[in-house]
Amino acid sequence: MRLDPSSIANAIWALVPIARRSVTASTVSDKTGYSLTAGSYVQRASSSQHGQATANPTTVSSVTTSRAHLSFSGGYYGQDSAYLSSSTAITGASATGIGYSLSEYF
Amino acid sequence: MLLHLAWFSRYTGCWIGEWCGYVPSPQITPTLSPAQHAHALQDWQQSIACRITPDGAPFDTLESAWDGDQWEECPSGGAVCLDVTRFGWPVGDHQWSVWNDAHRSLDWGDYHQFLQIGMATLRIEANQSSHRPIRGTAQHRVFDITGLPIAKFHGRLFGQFVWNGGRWHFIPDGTHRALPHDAAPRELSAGDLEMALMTEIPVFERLLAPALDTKDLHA
Repeated sequence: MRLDPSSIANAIWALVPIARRSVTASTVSDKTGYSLTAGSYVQRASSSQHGQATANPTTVSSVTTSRAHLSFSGGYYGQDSAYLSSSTAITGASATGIGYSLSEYF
Repeated sequence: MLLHLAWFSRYTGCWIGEWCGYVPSPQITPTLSPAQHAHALQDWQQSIACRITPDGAPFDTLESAWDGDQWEECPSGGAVCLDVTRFGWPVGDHQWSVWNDAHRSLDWGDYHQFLQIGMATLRIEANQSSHRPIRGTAQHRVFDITGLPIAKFHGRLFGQFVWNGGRWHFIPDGTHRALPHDAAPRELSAGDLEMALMTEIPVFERLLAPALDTKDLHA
């Protein structure tokens, strides 16, 4: 089979970090069978988190982009009738509300 | 360039570990076809992944998290390394995700159930469910109650923790029970929380009894 020059170049590139192993004395593990870059595997298009909270600051999972959507739903908790009804996108890690739903879309 | 990698078992689909840090950018010939470019990029990522272990990595490491048992049990070639940089999640947030090697798909695991406690008030502030870990703060601590007997009441667990008589008690909202709060010698721990809530299960059963199924009314 005729070898493609570009594939040879790529193979050499892939070998370069391993060739440097003797210089940096780093450990090479054989546990990883193969690697997949972003877009090479399938994942669910959205992630969600739900909560029921008193009217205090509520901790939510950290998100680092603005693609997350946080919505609140009104509720009654027996102690007072205060409730919130709003929706906002967040970039931080806290929210205040009664019922809330945090959704991320990928 | 910043790279966040996650390893999963190809056989069980379980999470093995994550690593995030800075690595040398790939030097890929720009004239490659799209398929060759993708192949070269994966070869580059594989060369990076093979040099990262729970014991360390020859790169600028920001953070890492590992399941030592899963790593030890993983056979040669038994793991897949995924680039999860695009999610932007903290390291460790994929720990409940599940990998399907046949379909090459990553899915979120079952929801975990959490309680958020205000350390100043010792009241349950929130009942939360998430398939990612929820991290609390020193002022608002978060406890994972997934799998505990009290978890069946999750969503309606609200009340007050009280230190009295040498142990932690929990007074559910709606019981109108009063208990003096002695000075607590130590902070509320996960074990304390579980013990105090377990004691109140009969109260929860009475207060939070599920509604009758309509077919029972017509029986």
